[in-house]
Amino acid sequence: MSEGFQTNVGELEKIANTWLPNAANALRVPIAVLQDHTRTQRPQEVPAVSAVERAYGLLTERLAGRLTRGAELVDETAVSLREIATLYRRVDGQG
Amino acid sequence: MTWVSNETLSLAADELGDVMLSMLSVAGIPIDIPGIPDQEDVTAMKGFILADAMDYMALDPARLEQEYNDILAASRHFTENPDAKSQMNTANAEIAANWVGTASDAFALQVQNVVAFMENEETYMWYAAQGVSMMYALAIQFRAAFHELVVKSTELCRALISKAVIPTLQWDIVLTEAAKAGLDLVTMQSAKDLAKWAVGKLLETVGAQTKSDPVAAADELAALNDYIDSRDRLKNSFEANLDEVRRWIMNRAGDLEDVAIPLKEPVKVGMDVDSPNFSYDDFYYNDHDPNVYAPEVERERTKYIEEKSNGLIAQRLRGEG
Repeated sequence: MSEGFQTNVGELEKIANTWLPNAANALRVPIAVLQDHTRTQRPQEVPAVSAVERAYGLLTERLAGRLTRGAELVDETAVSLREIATLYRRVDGQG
Repeated sequence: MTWVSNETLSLAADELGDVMLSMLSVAGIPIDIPGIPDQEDVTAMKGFILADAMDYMALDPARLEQEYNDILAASRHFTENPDAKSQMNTANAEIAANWVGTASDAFALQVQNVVAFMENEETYMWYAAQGVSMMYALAIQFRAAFHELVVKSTELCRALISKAVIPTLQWDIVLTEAAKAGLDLVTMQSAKDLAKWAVGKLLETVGAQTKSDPVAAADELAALNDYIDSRDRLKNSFEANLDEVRRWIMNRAGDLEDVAIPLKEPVKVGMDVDSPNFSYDDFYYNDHDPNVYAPEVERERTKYIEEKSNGLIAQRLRGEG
């Protein structure tokens, strides 16, 4: 490993430590909005209104669930890439 | 955008109740609502008209407008965030240009799929926003229609009380196809255009789906029946339109369930250093021949895993190693 990995590993670290966490955060931002469903305060129950709001709630819950899972997978990817970068730095004698 | 407020609806319904009761009283028509004690008939009749108004108060345009803005703002966090997507695209390019092997290919694909995932979820957030905008359009339209019906019915009752010449009165009933016309327009938009698609256009389309209907009656009893019939038709249309929106949203939710999240668990694509399946051959720098470096990487990987499992790093951090 005489040539060293420093420059190349730095590229992996930038992606693992900054870019992937940015992406995971971006995915998480809409989750709170999606989970805060619209339910109009109403003076009396109207089944047709409740039904359409339930459908909307299902769509937004589903979206929130997907974004949560997506962000977790991006986090896991960042951890794995960080581990690869750490290993390669160790090989290079910098770890 | 302005709409008929709850207060305006309540006041109009209350006034119609008073005027209708007065009209029936003047005409000598007894009020006898089946199942209601006689002494409560007057209150019940006013209550029924107020309950009709409350059906349309169930959709609050102000709350829906806020929801629409919130969800669009959330979706724009992807589109208007200059970093989130561009960094993933750059990462994909850098990895693909400099790193070689099945795991590095999988990683490059993973970051590319982060972008694809964001774009797909954005599209569905826009669909959600358009679903809300349809509820908003219906809320405004039906509030206006019911208010007009009540006001014109009040005018008719007043004319009958005063024995005046009955004016020609019309109100605009919302057609049962109103929501479909709006949703057809939304569905025709490309995903790219959905985010900026104007709610005003939807309001205009739904607003055009009305039919002028007479408010007329030869006598007092007919006036009461005319209101009941018109009210029933409007409510049926309200329910049919809401059901159309509900089905449209459910279809989007169903479509979404069929779209797999394109991201993989890193362990499944050979990116897990802790796994015996990890190999430098699968993730190597293009100038560093794996035939030369792989054995050294494997030795260091084994050491690294041992250290982690023995907690040596933690011991060293405590100054014990």
